[in-house]
Amino acid sequence: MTAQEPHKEKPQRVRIMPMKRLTPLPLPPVASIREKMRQHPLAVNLAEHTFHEWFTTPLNGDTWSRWGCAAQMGPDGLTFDRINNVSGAAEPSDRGYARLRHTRYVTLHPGITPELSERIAPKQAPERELDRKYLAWADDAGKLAEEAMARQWRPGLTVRWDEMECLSPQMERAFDQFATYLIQAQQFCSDAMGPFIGRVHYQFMEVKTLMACELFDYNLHCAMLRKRVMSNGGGMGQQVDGFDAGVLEVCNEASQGFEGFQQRDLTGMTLALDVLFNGVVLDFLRLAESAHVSSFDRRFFRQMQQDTARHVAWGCRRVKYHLEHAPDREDVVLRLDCIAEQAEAGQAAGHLLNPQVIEPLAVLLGGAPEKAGEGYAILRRFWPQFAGNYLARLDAAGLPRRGRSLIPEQPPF
Amino acid sequence: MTTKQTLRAAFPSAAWFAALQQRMNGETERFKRLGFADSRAIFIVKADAEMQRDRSFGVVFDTYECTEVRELSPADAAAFGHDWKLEGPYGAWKEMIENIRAHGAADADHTLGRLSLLKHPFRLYGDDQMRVDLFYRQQSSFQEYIDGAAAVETTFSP
Repeated sequence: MTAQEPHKEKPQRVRIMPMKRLTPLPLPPVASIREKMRQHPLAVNLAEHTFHEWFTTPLNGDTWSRWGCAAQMGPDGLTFDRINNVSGAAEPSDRGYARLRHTRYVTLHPGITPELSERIAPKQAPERELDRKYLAWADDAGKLAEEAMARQWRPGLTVRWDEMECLSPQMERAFDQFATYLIQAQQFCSDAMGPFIGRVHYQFMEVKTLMACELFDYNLHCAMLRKRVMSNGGGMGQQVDGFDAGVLEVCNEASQGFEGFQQRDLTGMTLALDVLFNGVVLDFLRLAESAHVSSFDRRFFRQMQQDTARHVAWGCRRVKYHLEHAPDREDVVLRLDCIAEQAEAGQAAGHLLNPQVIEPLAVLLGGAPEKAGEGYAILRRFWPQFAGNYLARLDAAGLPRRGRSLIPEQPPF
Repeated sequence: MTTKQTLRAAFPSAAWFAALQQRMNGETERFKRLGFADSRAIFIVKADAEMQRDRSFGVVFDTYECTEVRELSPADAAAFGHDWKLEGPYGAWKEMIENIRAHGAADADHTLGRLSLLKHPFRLYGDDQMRVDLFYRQQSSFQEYIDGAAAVETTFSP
């Protein structure tokens, strides 16, 4: 083991101008400050129990946003759709308001003109980056967000740790290595998509909710897998490198390192991360559920499949909406094709042929290290589905890549 | 105290799928815990050495209930507006149902996911992969629906 490197100062990524230290002015006496506070108009109103404008403005019209809303609960509860139906703003407009956190549900104060709104809006705020509908929205976003909230894994209610079963040491080792990969994959997804949430305008509440659920899913999966690995006689396996190949580069380009005030490419990120990467993870989870693992472990993989399939669905819908509504469709197709090519090239080898992923999976599918050959045979039979499912999703999203995709349609082993 | 009704039906038939429907709709709380499921599914029992002709059954899942079950002619199936189809030979269906009856729920080798993993003996497909993916998003509910076969005294009449 090498000695720990000496601590180095973190280089500053944003240059901060040196500021001149100000000499504080002498404060007035405390009694004087208290008296001035008592005379403050807001304090006077509070003392007199005089309500502010929120209580006096007419309920119909003027600055009060809406009154008399009585969304009806359906069998599926009080959903986004049911709330939207009575909100007067069922669909978001094509562009978010200049003022931050101004959702489509709240009426803009008439005293704030569009020009003033633009002038008083902070220019560096991230919410403004993804403020166009075609850049952030997806059809059925509300329904998908509801599904995320309704079907999200609730381990506190469903996982019975006393039902966990021992595996043989070799099978536990294979399970732990595969789970270590899954944990890293979930952490990668979390880091890649998480910071985008703050960049999406509050005009698109449903999308923000859906993405927040996705972020939560990744971290919940990590936590649950870590608990499972650390409690059944085994432990965390070997660090896996390279599974993010191609996708990492796309995400970095899409996010521009989240520096400065500029356009972020949410669609490019979702294409690489949700459609391709999570599509592969979903197929791996389907294989793992069918492997020689315990019923307890099988339930883990099945629940993760459901959450991961939802992430894939969001990615497909995002790409589809973007393609259908972007003003420069031809340029968008060209750009998304380039992104897909870059991500596919990396994933074909780095993820699909990664020995630290495929080998433990083959052992789990075969039932023992000496039966890994049977596992590889299953993987070979399954293989066409990796490309097949991915290409079928791209067809549905309106970005056909048959005959051009770099994901091998037949097993290269 | 509730008295569980004994359900009896022949397989394959709309009555058999309706028996699963009856069990699902009688256990709403159990399905609520899994989350809502919205799918238009077609279950296809393919002809094999034991059965002469293909049979198709349309099943509609809406929120926490199964709201529709009917046998579909080829023309009906085309107009059903399915999200996904799950197709397997009669023999594989029979083995799966017997397994569910024996264990109270499908064992590891007889879940819908396992049986369709390699597209054999079952095959999951549809016209639009985004709609087919609904199966993976909500599969716990569909597995629970099929596991309802444990409570159905099934006679096999191909």
